[in-house]
Amino acid sequence: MFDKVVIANRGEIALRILRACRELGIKTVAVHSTVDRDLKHVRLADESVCIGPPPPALSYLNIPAVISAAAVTDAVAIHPGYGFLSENADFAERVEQSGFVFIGPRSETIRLMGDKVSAITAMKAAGIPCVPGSGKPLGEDLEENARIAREVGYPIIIKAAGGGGGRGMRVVHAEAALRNAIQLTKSEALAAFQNDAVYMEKFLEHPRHIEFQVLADHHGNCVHLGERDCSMQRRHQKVIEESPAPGIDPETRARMGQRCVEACKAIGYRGAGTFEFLYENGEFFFIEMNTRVQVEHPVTEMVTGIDIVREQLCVAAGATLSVRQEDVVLRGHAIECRINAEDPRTFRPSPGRVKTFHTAGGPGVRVDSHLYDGYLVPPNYDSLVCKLITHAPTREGALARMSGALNEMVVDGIDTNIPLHRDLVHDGAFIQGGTDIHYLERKLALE
Amino acid sequence: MVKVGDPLCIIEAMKIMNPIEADRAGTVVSVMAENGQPVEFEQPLFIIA
Repeated sequence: MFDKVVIANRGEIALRILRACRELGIKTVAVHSTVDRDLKHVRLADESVCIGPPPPALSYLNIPAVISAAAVTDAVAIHPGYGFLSENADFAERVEQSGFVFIGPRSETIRLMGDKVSAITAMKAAGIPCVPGSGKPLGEDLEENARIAREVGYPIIIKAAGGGGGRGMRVVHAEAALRNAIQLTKSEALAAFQNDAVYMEKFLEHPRHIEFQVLADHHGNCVHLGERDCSMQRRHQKVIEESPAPGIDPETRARMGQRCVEACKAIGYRGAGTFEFLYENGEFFFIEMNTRVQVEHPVTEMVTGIDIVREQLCVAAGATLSVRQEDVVLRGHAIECRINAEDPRTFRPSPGRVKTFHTAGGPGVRVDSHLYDGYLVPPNYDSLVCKLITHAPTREGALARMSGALNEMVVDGIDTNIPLHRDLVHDGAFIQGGTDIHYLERKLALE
Repeated sequence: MVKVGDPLCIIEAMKIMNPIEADRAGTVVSVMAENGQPVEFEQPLFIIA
């Protein structure tokens, strides 16, 4: 096992990684910006290194600074968490070239999946169902593009190959608007991702977002840990996630999970990863793969009893997976509410000092948060400050526990979206289960 | 010279860009914050006369 690991992240996920390291007897190095000296994991880490000023580009995204911190502390591996450098293939490559272990897949895999067109091509070849579309970057020939669009059938969506995570997309409802939409998306993509390649997909009107968690080691073993439903979203950002997804039967789960496992084997995947799908009328369509741990990993941990971050650390150190597919059993139901520092109605960010932080507790309640009384939430980073997770034998039970837990939580001093979550756990359609990815925005627009 | 509703600056908070618009017309006689400088609630940013 590793002797010492650098945690190249901040907030709740940095604390989550620190906890997994501590259990495994791994020493930890927290790297942080000047404004993050008082982060909980920085205080708990064995060592800490300040790597720059508050703007992410000068600290958490500063590749030489992160690698130097590993060198000066004699660390052997770097865990990138999510966001920041976690899906940066150049970073993974430079970490390995500098003689450290990158806790994640190979840099070639990150590069393959980072380009959405090459990802779709690889997934099609591996037998994963994809959204009908161009399957390749669109050329300059408008007639040819119009022909593809007619074949796919309107409405269609133009997406940037270098995009992902809901950025760089434009929906087209009729041929008259096609030419402009392609041009606009191309120029936006060039500005945002330094890559003007765009492709076309059929636009699904009422899909759910369902994703499969996988784990793979360096010895050819790979398992799936079932699925998560993350359809409750606002502006492509997930708000509530759950596992299992309502209405997905065990046969479908096993079939889709097995396809993901085979795709992982085909591309030589290693570490934790997620296959994201749109699900409509009983069919799955691959959209992208996340080559890192995800924010919502705890719901899968709760129903499977498998510690995903621990597995990431162990397989990166060369161990075989601790579970075989037949050992993976989904027990009960888990739900996660993302608690953000923002106004629950206007969604205006709300950084500032936390006066009181009182968390919920009791059976089946888990809180992943870096907050504590007196902590100052800085304005420089993401607004996620707490993940509240409940687990119970049934979905109804998990919802009841979530309702109670949300009522127990006190975050005083900053605004949070807890009132929105209190409302959502009593929403009739959500209680029934299976709402689509547009549900929350439609509901908010009506209010 | 600015009109009511003209964008004066963008305040970035938690990865969200918030355009700040002029709430009255006039001439900007003073810019009281530097680009990239952290600002607080109630802090004056511009004087429009």
